[in-house]
Amino acid sequence: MTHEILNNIGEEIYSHVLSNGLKIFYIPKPNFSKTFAMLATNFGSADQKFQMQDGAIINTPAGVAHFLEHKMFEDEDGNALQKFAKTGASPNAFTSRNMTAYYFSCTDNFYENLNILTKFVCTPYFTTENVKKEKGIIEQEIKMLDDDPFWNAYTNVYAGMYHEHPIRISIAGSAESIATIEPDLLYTCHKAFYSPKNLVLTVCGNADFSKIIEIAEKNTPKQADDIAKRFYGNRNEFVSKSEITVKMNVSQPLFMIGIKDEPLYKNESASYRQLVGELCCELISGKSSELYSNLYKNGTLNRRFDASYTLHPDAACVLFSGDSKNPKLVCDEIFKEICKISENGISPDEFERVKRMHYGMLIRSLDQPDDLCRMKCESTFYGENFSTISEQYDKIKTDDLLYRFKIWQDKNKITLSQVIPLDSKQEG
Amino acid sequence: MQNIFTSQLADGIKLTCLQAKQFKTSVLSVTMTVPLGENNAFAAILPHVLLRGTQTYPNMLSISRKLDTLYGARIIPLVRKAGANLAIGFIADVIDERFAKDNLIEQVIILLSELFNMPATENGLLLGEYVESEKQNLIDRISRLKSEPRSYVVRRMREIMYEGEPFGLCEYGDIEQVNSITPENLTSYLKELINTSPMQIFYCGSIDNETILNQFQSAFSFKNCNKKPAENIILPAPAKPKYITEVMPVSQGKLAMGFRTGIYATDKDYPALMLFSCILGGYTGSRLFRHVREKLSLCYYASSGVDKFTGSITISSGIENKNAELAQKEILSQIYDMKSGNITEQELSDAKINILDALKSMSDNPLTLESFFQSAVMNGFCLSLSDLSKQIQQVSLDDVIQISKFVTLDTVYFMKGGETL
Repeated sequence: MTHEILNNIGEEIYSHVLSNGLKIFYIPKPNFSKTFAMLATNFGSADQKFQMQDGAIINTPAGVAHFLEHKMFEDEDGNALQKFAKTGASPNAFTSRNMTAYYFSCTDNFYENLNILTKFVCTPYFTTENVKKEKGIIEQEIKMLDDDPFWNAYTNVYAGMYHEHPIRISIAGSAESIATIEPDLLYTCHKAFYSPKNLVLTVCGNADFSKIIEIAEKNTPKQADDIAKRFYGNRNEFVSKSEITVKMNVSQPLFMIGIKDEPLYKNESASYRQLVGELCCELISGKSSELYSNLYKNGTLNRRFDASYTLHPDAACVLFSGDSKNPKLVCDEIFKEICKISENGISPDEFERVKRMHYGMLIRSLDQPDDLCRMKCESTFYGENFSTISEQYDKIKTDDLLYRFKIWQDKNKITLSQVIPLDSKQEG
Repeated sequence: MQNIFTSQLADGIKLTCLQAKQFKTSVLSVTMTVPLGENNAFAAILPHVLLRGTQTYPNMLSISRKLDTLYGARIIPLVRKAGANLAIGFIADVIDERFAKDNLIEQVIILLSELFNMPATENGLLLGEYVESEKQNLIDRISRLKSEPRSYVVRRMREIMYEGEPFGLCEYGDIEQVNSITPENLTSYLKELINTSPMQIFYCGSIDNETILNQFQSAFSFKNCNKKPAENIILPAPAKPKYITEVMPVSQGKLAMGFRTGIYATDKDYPALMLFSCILGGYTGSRLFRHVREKLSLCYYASSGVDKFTGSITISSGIENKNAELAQKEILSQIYDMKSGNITEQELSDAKINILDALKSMSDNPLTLESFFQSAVMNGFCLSLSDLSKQIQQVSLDDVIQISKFVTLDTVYFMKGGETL
């Protein structure tokens, strides 16, 4: 067991690795009412094709990680959601392209809840009947997402940027793709990726770390399976489609602009790249950038504009999203701004300003146990130490930002995904 | 529970401070209360126009850059409906000074005061350019409401349910009202509000009450405000429920049902109503979750919630068109079953644990606390989380069954997925 004190950000972290490989972290939050726990596996919707230990190559239908997330709650002695309902905890789960996480928060009965969580995530129980029943529920979830314009723009921007990588497919899959899912496949995925070696347990709030370890040890298997090897298809430096447009029930166009970046290099720090990427976003089009201010002023953008940087297994990209009467103009202006910064460089004043703002965002996220646990899980999947995150602000160099701008300065790396009104004359 | 401090800074100006040393970020809000009505568009546009520029920071860029230097402090326009009233103003958050070595809170408070009291003007009027551009943004926002089906069905159901009552009005007004806004009439509206409308100020964070009180007092020159918030006048449900179906070009149908109860936040029966709604559809152990979702696989979500100011219960769910009647029947039969007295002690105690956990959890989230306290204060309610928790604990099975008699169906709205409007 290790205990680190991070004086500069006023946090402390306890950590421990079980003999089966499960990594456990505890971040105390004295005076918080609730305690939050997250058990996450480094297995997301992008992990569609993989190789088992016996050499078998498994090709799964789209949406299997998300389907598995729904079905994990089922146990022989009842549904875990119903067990949590009796303790007063608020349970939930999510599947992203990179990970699947199960979590709860509670103000009482923490150890009982932790027992439920660790048990159900490590105990697969799938029957033909309960798998069939879930299809109806997930189909409705997919339909709800189908009607969500933002979700469409988001899914399509990945479909446009990538040629083969499975991140180009919607996280939940489609009614057709999930129709073929059977219990056997779910068991295979569980064996491949729910090994304790591939799991991270993070607790934030008020608890006794030794008791957390004890419960985790009791409920996770003694022997850990090896993690399956994954395949993400052939890489392509450029986007597959530069534009994808769909028509939906929207009053004005909304867009998602993606810039395809190079995946993380060998031995490169994920958190450093993330910080570099986010600072670049701020410089291009943050709330205090000239570009955003000009586009807002002339009515091209409103307050619902956002820029973010995302790392995926074997992929990385920048995303700009918002509403605009003229998404193409936004896309052109962003590209011009990248070229401009790349050519003119970054002034020290500007660099200090965005760094300071970003540091404020980091401090703010420390008040949110759910964000904190997710950040901790993600950095652990990248094999990194979250505690050094705040030190990076002093180390970061403008040259590293300019290097990214150079890479992004290529029209063949940009995809514009837009959702336009049904009555629009433009083709969808 | 936190240490709550309240103070009257002038007539109608109320400050609520929650001291919470556990947070690294402070949350503040300053809002004015106006009655919901024909001026909604004027009220809703104001914070957006004011956030375009002040006399010291004349445009968005200079405000944003100032906020960057305050370690990414955020000031966000706030337009919130609660009961028969509308709160407009700003919500802000800023990191603690122990991570920044600067008087961040004080600077944010001064900036908030400038936004209200020293907006950028020309010949004494709000700038035409800002007013025009925010008019367009507001029109876009109103038009966009329909593009978010899940929230739109609930909004549309309430509009039908509360036809002729203020609760059903859109907080952004309508496009016609927006078009009638000019720099002249908006400037006089602002002046009128500053001079007459009640104001609520909220702070949650680690700084002591005295300091916050003094900083607000010195940044704002508060005047006595004589206007009172609008009263919530609750009408009974109609003799026959309204059934409305509309077609929207979406793939999934959505159902929203509204019930009147006549019981609202300050009633002694309100905790029993909260429990009724929780047992029905408030969490994953509820009847709607277990029956409509898990047993019948009809939907991904089906839930129920109470509005504390109007005492109405809203149920919403996303379903296939063909299942609309089946889902409605199942929901009504669960309610009928509960009204017939078939609620178990186990259901009641599970629901109690869930509500108590949710109430206790609120103290970890300053934004939730802000909305809870400010909505209450603006409606003249005095709510206490710990009193509410105590009352919840005391509710008996009989209490829930008794109040279930008052749950009366008012409106059933179904948004049918389809091709055309």
